Amino acid sequence: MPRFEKTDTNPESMQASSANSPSPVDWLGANFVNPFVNTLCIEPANAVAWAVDTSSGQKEAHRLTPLPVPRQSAKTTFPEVLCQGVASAMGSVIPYALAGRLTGNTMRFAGATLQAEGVLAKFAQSEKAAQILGGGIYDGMKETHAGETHLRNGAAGAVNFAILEYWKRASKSSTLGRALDRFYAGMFGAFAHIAVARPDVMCLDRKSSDLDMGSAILTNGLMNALLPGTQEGIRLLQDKATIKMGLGVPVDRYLKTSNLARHDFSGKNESSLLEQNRWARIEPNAQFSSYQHGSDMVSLKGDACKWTFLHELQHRKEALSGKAEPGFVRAASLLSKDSDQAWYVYKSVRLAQEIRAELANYHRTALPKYSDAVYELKIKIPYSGAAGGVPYITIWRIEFKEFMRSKGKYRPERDFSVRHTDRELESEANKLNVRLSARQPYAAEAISSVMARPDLKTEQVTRVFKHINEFLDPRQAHTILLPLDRLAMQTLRLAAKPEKVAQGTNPTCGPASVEYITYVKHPENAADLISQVVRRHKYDCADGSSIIVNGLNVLPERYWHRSFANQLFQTTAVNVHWQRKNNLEPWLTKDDSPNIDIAPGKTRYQRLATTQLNESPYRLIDYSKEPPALIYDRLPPALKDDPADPLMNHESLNDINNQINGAAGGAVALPWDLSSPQQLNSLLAARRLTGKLPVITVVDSKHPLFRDGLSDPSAGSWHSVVIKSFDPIEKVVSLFNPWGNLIDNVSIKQVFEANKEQKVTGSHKTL
Amino acid sequence: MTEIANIGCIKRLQLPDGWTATRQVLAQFGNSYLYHYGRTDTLDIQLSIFYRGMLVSSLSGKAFERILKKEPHELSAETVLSISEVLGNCAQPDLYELDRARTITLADKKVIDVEGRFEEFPLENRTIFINGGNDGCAVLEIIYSGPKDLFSKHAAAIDHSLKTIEWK
Repeated sequence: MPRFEKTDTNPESMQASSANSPSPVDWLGANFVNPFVNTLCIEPANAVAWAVDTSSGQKEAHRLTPLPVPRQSAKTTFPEVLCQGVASAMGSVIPYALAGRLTGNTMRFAGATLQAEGVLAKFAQSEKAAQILGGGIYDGMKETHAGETHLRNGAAGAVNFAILEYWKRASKSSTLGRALDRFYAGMFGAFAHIAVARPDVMCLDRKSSDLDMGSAILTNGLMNALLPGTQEGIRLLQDKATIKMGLGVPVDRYLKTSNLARHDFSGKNESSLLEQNRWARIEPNAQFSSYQHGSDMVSLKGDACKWTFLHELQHRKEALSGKAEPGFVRAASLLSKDSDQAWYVYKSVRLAQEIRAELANYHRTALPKYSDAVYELKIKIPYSGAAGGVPYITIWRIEFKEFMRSKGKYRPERDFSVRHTDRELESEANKLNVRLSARQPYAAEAISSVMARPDLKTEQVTRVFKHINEFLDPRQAHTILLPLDRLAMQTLRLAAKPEKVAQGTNPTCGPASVEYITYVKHPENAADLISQVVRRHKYDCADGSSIIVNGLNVLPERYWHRSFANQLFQTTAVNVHWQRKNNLEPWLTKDDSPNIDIAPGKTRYQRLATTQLNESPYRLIDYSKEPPALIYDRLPPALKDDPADPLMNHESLNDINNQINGAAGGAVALPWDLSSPQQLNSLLAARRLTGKLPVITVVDSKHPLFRDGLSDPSAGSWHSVVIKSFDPIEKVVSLFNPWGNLIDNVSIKQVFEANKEQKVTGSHKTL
Repeated sequence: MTEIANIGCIKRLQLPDGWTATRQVLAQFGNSYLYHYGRTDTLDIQLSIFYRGMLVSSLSGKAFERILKKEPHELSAETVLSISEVLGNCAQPDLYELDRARTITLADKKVIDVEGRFEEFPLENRTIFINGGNDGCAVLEIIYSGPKDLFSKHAAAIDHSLKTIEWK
């Protein structure tokens, strides 16, 4: 029970100051701040110090001196009593609620460790019991005063909280009504506390006491009114922290706070399953619903229904009981003799696990016949989709390969795909899902679709998620408020389907082609680029140069028809090339001008404020000049058709790729001049064999393949496209066009013609 | 008096007095072209002829054609939504405050006439969307835009100029 009646260290001075009409600030300090700090900080600190001193056998007391509070006397005014009461109630409610929570956690830990059952388990899980014990322990640890003992104080605290927790309240009354109920309970509790802790003051013939019963009763009443909210706030904070640390929340707590709270679990099977899993911990808002044996954690998707919940609890129950183990041992013993038979046994064990998990839900409908239901499930389950839509049978096959490789020692960690058993990947995917799902309802699908890409290694997918998590990390201090959840979704979708890369209405077909190849081969590098640019407004190239990407370049475009993720990658890519250049070759040669030099790091591809909504707003600008000058103004007339042109050729694109993806993979852009269709054919055949497709080539956009059926396009120019795949037998390729489309079945002859049809003399200029 | 000739499906268009070609941006995106015309006494007002360089989807193209086949009429919100790809930024409510969208006839050819403003800048705008091909997928745009006072001042002259258009 909070008290403040004995904290005045200098009563005379306080009385004196009180008599001399103190200033409002002093009055508030003495009557509100001091009692608040005393009950919130000093009392708990002294209680802990007492416990430490006592347990270590130290006689010398280490205590903090409480701040002075005016003593209650005949001269004390009602506002003073009220103010001190409110402050003490507000200050003390937090330590008491914390004590209850700590005790509850200890009881739960003990219960889970001992796998307590029955009444003991219920007691260990009881939050009321935890608060009574916690309150009692805290009161017992507090400093004693005249007429008190630690033991009696502890018992008094427990009695007080027993009254607070079990006081009958009218649950249907209004908020004010409930608060008043709690207030009355608190008053009564305070009275009981005093009766146990200080029976001497309860004598009817007592003359005086240093205890102000009225203040104590008022304070306890107020504290009790504040207690439920504080308890819930601390519970929520703890839940958030444990989820973040990957420890999940207790199942009973999850059932109270999740969308399952409104469901009834009183059915015989359900309540029995819940009892058997009373110590389970739940990880809410996970990427997939599953049970992870290693960490004994039931992961549930944000939208997991009651039946998924029960299904996963059944998996947990089975895993802990080792029910499937004899089956796995039998399958292992068959491995050396007959692998087909071993597969059959393994599959049967896994199927039986899923059937039992499904049957855990079957009581919900009138089960016509148990054997019929099992028969139906036997047929249905193997080909029904598990996580990410992959059929169970496929997942079991992958698991069985691992089972064979480990000579029968492997056990499925989870109830689906081995691909998802990588802990780091799971952790990153779950973190990403938790961060995105509140604002992006399709986050789980986007994450799954990246994981479903068969050509990516687990480490690559993990790194994609890790980099996206970096910029979504709420601890990151972003200088500009960006739509990061949207950017994360765009990056995920590009990683899942690189064909979504688009240049919009910008002349960035070359960088967009490099972007496409990066998302195909190294999506983790694309995610890294976006993460660096968003977090630091800089990008570190492979050669160690640091590229500045700032100003309007890092604000989402609204008018130029490409996603923010496309915008960041493409404009950064142009800057990766231009901020490392020291001359204007090949766009300006010594024949054109005696001065072709530019200061390295000073030329940037920068977005400018504009009202020309049908033109790309980017310009190459030389910031070494004062005022900054457009590179466009120095170009020869033949190249002056588009001021937003980033001036890229195949060498620039290879340079960008080397800086983003490393030089080990070789060139990603074919040479400008292809001498014959045969040369193109042999180049593509060699690249196909060495895994170096896709590759960028240059075409004339006036070629019929790209001119949209227009008989006479009024304009056209060099354009970069990507040869996505090559069929050496049919001699056809599949093209990715950064305008946002795929063109299949294009013959080598057509590609060669498009590469040659209208060549701009003296320049290697592309869009 | 300046005359525009031979751009896309436009054979001829007389510009109002005082208007001349200012600049052009070719092939910025695919086969796009953008021709700007303005006045010598102010740079703030502009008439442009724009082809976006790529076709709209056949679904949008068909919807565009269907609308143009009907007698001149005001477009409902649903109709605007059905051709949002054709109308581009003008169909984005967060970018463009649409006052009016209707079909009109210019030299016996039906076109979509959209009026409104880009509030962010702010720029008053009138855009004529023309079916530049055979299937509604190649969309040519005549864009008239500028600050409110100048826009209103020259609106009648531009309207008169549009009536001089001849098609190929």
